[in-house]
Amino acid sequence: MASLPKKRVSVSFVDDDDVVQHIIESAKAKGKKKKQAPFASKCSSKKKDLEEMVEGSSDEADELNFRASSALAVDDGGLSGGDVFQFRYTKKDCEMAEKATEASTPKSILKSKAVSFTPSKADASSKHISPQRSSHSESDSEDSSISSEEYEDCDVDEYEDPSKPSPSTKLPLSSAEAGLSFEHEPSTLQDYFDLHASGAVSTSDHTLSKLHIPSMDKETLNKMLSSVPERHVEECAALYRQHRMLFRKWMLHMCHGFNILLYGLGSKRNLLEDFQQSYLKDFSCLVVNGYFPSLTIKDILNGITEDIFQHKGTFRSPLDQCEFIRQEFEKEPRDFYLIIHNIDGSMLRNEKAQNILSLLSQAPGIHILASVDHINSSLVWDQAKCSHFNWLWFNVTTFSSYTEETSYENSILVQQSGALALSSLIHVMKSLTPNAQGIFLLLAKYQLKNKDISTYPGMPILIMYEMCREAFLVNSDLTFKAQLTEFRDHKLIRSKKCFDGRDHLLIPIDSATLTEFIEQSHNL
Amino acid sequence: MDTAGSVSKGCFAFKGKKKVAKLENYLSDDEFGQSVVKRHQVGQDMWTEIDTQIQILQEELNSRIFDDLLTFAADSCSTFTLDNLETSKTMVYREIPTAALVTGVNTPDHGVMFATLVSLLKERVSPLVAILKSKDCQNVKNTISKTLSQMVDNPQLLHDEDEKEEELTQKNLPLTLSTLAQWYKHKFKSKLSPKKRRSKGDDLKHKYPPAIVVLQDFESFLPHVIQDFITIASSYLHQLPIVFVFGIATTISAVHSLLPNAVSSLLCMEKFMAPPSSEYLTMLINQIVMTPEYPFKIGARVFQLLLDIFLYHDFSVLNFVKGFRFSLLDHYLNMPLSHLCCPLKEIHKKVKVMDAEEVETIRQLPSFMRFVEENPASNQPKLLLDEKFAKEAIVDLLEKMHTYHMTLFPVLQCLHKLVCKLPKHPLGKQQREVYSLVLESNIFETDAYKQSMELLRMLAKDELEEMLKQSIDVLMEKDRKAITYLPTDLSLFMDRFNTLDDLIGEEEDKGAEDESSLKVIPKQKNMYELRQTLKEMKKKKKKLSPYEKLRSEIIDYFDSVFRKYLICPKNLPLHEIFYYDAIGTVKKYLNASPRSATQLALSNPQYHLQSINCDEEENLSSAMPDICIVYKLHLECGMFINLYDWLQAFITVISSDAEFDPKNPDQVLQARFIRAVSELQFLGFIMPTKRKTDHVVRLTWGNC
Repeated sequence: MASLPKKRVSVSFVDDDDVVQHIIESAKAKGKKKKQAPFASKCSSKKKDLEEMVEGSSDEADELNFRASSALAVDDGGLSGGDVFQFRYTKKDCEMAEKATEASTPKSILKSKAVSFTPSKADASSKHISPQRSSHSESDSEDSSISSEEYEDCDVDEYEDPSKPSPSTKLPLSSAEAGLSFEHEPSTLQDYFDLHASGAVSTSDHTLSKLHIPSMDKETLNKMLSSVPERHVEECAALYRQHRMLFRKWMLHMCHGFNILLYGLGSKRNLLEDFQQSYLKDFSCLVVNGYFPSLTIKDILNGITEDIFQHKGTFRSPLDQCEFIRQEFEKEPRDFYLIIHNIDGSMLRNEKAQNILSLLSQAPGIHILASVDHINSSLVWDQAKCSHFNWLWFNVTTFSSYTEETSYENSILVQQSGALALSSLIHVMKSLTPNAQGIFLLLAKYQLKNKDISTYPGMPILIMYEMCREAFLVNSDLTFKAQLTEFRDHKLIRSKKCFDGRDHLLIPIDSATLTEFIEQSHNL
Repeated sequence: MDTAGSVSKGCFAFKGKKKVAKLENYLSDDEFGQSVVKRHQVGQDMWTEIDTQIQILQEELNSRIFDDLLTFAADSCSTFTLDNLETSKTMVYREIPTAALVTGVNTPDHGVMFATLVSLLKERVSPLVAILKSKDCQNVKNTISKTLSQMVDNPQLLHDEDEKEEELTQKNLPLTLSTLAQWYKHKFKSKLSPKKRRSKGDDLKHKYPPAIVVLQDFESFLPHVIQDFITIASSYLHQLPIVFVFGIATTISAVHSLLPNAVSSLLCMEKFMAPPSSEYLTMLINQIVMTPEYPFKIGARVFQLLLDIFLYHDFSVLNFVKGFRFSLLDHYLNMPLSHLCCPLKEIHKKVKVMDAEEVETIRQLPSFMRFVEENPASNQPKLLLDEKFAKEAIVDLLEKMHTYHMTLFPVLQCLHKLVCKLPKHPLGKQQREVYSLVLESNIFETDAYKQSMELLRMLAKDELEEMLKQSIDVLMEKDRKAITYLPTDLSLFMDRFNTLDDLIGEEEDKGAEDESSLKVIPKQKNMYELRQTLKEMKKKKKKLSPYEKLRSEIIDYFDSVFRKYLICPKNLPLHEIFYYDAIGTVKKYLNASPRSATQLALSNPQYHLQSINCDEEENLSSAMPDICIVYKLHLECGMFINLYDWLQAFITVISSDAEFDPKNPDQVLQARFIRAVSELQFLGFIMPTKRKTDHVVRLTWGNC
């Protein structure tokens, strides 16, 4: 025993009553949690004592004394909260690769392979995979490969048989108790420091630049993906059909004043669009792309007041607008459907937007159908908002990919092609006067000319003014400044002070996009 | 119009011709079963009734809370006058009358409560009411302008005024309390010229209506804002009769922690308690759920779930009502025979028009089958084959169900009265707890019931008498004609209590004799014999006193009554028609957990896609969707994930042959990886980081 430093033997005196208690408890525990470590039973029996004490003392406490909620804990085939919300624990980097190889190698090979793994690695991983194994403190069994369940069994056997000479009879109770509480502490302590060890990140130093193609642009990505055959087509279609069957129910529930919220893995865009096509064709509705990066709550309100009511006036604040909408609906009862793809979208995540939406949902006749995808999306609502929304939750797992939803997202691996920037650039350009267009083109061309200089600071403002005058684009310093202000407001240019104190102007767009832009602007 | 990929717009409006969605269009027989329209109508009617009942209940409750508050608000400024300015100036109005309304934990219900309060105040006390919420009042200016705009814009005031208040509609006027004070003076002083006063004699009380400011969520206000506001308001007290109402969620001491002594000394506070929401719920359950008036009932598990959501999640009665409504709706939509769950008087008519198919459905009900089996053999074929006979039986059973409800609740209340004060509360303190036990199983078979009966057999005389009185009161309440013999029987017991004293006197004489004979313990030769004698003496039952006899008689009587009436509804035939117990549905739609659904789909895709056959849950296989593989791989990582390694691992899983060039992977695979990673980012599992190149941060901690 002494040769194995990792194992410890703890000796404790066990009362008869404790034994019985222990057996009952562990039998219970086995039923509930298979992997629970043996020491937990001791803890839980203590806890039970505590509970009894509390119960006893709470006789005259308030009426809402706590009992375990059975109805809320009923399991309906999903994951329980304990599985989803866990504590952080350390993992070594190599485990991912291990798991991957594990998956790709057939099982029979795997076993032998696992044994032949470098011992240090295997040791480390086993320690971290199953922290409960290291904390088996009460048992002195020698075979460490026995699973924890079996462990428990043999524990029980040992305790049941008092005649068996066990080393656990000599120490006084108090020190045994103390020993117990210390026993499993080192591991948690170690875990804690492992977790919070600041230092370097314990991952490998590989970078993507090792790859032949470190990053793809959007287009290639889409091209590549379009060639990937869809998988599980039939089953996804079956799931989809199943969800389609709910459409009538949704309408029914919305007629009763509930609002519909869809959740579950997979894009729900198509489903909602389908619903709109098939059931809401004749009704007024507003489709909102919550994932759209420059969506504001004002857009939604304006969509209702301008496009649906054809109201021309302006409003002091969104709350006023909301009130106006409510009054309009009260005046003339009618049904209006607000479809929000991703009500948890980045632009709708703020309190204000959700407040307005919840107020809208209060208006008679407004029905909301929305989808959520982010795992923490429920946190955007507090109790009051939640009850305003009056949601009915529907799980529509579709497994379809989030093509549209992620298309705006600045993905880590996708090279920014600047397609968005280009289109907005052209959009702004179209609205400018010919002179302003000329000024901007002049700046763009100058920047392109100097694109090879790595330390290009931008175009000096004085030189630019001179060139503009020569090209008859501006007639005075004032008009020039006015034009620049306009560009700045649209974030088309950025000014920068150089070391020599002169102002320089720069278009914050990469040169490829700029070339593309100049080409296209000739066709404007 | 394609709404998906636009880069310039996020909102798309579609105008439709239809105005109102008709419910009936969406009720189709093929989806919800036969005669859904009929069923739905019955459900709607019942809901309308219940809804009005809830409204009435709420009004009652509110008026009870607010009556005191309203009188306080009306009386507090009754001495206020502007008539002789000299005296009012010399009089020192230092303290602002303040009502501290302790409302309990903030819940969604509070909005409704304060809205009612404000409308009541406007109606009965004064048209000048402003309600302030902390989120609108980030500084003093906002607070005052909010107050002013609410008080001045009041249409009620402008209505009975001949000339419009032009000066105040002008926007350039400074928004201060002095403006308000001047406006107030102008308005109410000129209005009440002497001759007018004579004509409106009864209006004297409202001569100067108080200006009431309601602070809905007092604790959330910024301390300095509220302090300044109160200080400013107090200096206008001689011109403006201000009254505050604080809505306090915690305890009254919150006022003192928010306001320093200097400010709180300006207030003259009076405390008002709103009943806690659980009390409201109890009322609601008593009036809506535990009543024979509405035949629709929620079953044990759903009832427990709704209660638990209330007690553990939100304390919101609104949500409870929502859950109840959903259950009702779902019951009438999905239970094919639920149109029979209707008021008693309609049963005959409804059963008469039932067709053969419906009768057949009833025969299929498990509870009806049980009923048939319990019937004598001669009746069984008739019940199953003869439609007319079966219908008669059905009517009989349905009516029995109604009578069951009529007797159940009074007896239940009676039981509650008996057990609610027992030590350790074996059957719970609340009536709803007893009710949920009854719903679950035959309550008289539970250990808790037996235990409480044991405890009842040990009650002292005065306690028992009190309980007996209470239960008679409960049973004598109006509309409870169902069990008339019960209260009379109980009153007989009561009478016997009164004559008990005489009996005791007689008994005592006899008892004395008996005891004297027992007291003599013969001298014993040894310890053993002594012990034997003592044991025998113990065996000889102590004679019961008359009270004890009566007590056990009473308890036995109660016990028999409970056994007769408190049968679990699950054991009654045709209970399926009345009781809704689809806990899964309710939980799924009202108390969903989106995150666990997403994670289940990711970690266990074969739950939804059966074609992936994995022998073990933990394992990876290339047949899984990409996002699941990427997700499972990322679970193996700590805080940071190296994208390069991740990609390599992904490719290892996907490609069957181990021979691939790590530097130059298949581009399609790389693209699939990129897509999966950005989807994980979209779902919120990972986030890009700058701490190390080509790394992402993991945002979740679990490993499943």
